[in-house]
Amino acid sequence: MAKTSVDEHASVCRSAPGSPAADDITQLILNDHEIFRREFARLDDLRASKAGESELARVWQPLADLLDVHAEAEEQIFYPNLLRSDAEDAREETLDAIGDHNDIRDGVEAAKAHPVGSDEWWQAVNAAREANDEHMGEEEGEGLADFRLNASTELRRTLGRRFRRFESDHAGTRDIEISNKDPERYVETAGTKADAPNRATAARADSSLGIGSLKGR
Amino acid sequence: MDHLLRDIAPIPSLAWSRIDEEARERLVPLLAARRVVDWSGPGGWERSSVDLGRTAPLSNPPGSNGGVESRQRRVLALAEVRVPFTVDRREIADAQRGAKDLEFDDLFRAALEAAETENRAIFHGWPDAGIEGIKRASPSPNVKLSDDTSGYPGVVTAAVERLRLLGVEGPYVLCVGPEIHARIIEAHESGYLLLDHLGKILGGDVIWTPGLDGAVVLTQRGGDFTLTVGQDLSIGYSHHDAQTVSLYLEESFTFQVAEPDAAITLTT
Repeated sequence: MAKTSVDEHASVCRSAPGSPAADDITQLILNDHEIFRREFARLDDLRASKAGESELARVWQPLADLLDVHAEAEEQIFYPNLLRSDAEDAREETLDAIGDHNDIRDGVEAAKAHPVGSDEWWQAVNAAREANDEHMGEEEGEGLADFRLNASTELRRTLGRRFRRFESDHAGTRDIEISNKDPERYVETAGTKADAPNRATAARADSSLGIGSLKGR
Repeated sequence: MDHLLRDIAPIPSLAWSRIDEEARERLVPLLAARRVVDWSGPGGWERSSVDLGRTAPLSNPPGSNGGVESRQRRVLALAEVRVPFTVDRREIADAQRGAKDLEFDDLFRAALEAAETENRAIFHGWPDAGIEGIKRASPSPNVKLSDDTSGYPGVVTAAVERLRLLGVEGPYVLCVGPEIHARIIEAHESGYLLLDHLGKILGGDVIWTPGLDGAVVLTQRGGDFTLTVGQDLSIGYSHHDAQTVSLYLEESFTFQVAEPDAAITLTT
């Protein structure tokens, strides 16, 4: 059976970091975006060739899982740190991103309710794709760019290692709850989640090895 | 630049990455207490204390003739722990070349020492740091674990039963020092692994806990034991010479027991 890009992604997640750039969280997010574009294009090809249900599912299911895990990883690791940074538009960018993540999750969830390859299934998959396309464009031009301008290389790499580990630990949505979040409430709480007295302290806390709580592991 | 001074260490970025990864890989399995207690933090290096919500009597302020009542807020100050270690500069150079078989033996020693320090403080306490620890706090009489593992299921069942009678719900875990853990994993009961039997009694795991003497049965319901961390374990730079770079593992933390009845101590 041929490997999908998502399979390759899983193997990258398991591998040791190869270079400093490979640890940069902004680069890891871009890598996932590339996989999304490529896998949605594969679905186009399969649709054109009138591929059967099993072929479609073999591409869609890992893609759907990665869409969910990627969104969760961004919400747990990237956006809280964007909010704590000095990026001017961090709040608005995060509000947009969480709203987009909800739309993507809705599309993925809706697809589960229909037979793979049916018109309704394609409609749900396309809804997820449209929301994801919009999200990736905004994130690449705004959130990721602002984070590069405002976060140290060391912080980006520390977060990148956590991001990679998160996606590896939760591959296939293992041990995570996929649920929509209220963007306003998320923004209110996420930037202070590190129990930090102020922004500067929180950013410095991320110079650590990032081990944190291990309860239940 | 923060107080860890990593930016001025003679360590290129890829080598830093490898040192951090090696430290994390060693520390995670050693930090057993973190697997069973609640977590608060990280609050950063600046965080100095935990508010206890309590006060202590205070003598009258200067100039007062007794018409002023005064009390002082009590806090639990965080302890700072630093474990120095060295890395050979040739290993740093080889890490940058992509070597996979790096020798960080002193880092591994420091990781064990740092993890044991945290585990010991949580289970046995650290009086100078104001940490009582789970074993000291537990009011239940210590239960004896003999060298004969055939008695372990009965002892652990009795501990779980006692916790239930005290209204402490499960699931429960059994944290054990390395010596007892070795005995447990070697033991069979009519072909059935003792480790599996104990897991069924507890509804949770038997956890290898370096730094713990004896064993403790404790609930995992949450809210009973809290590790508060200021700066989570980090690697900082001290100094270097032509052969070695001197680094250190560092964290700041304290630990509180909210419900002493939530654990039963087993001794050997």
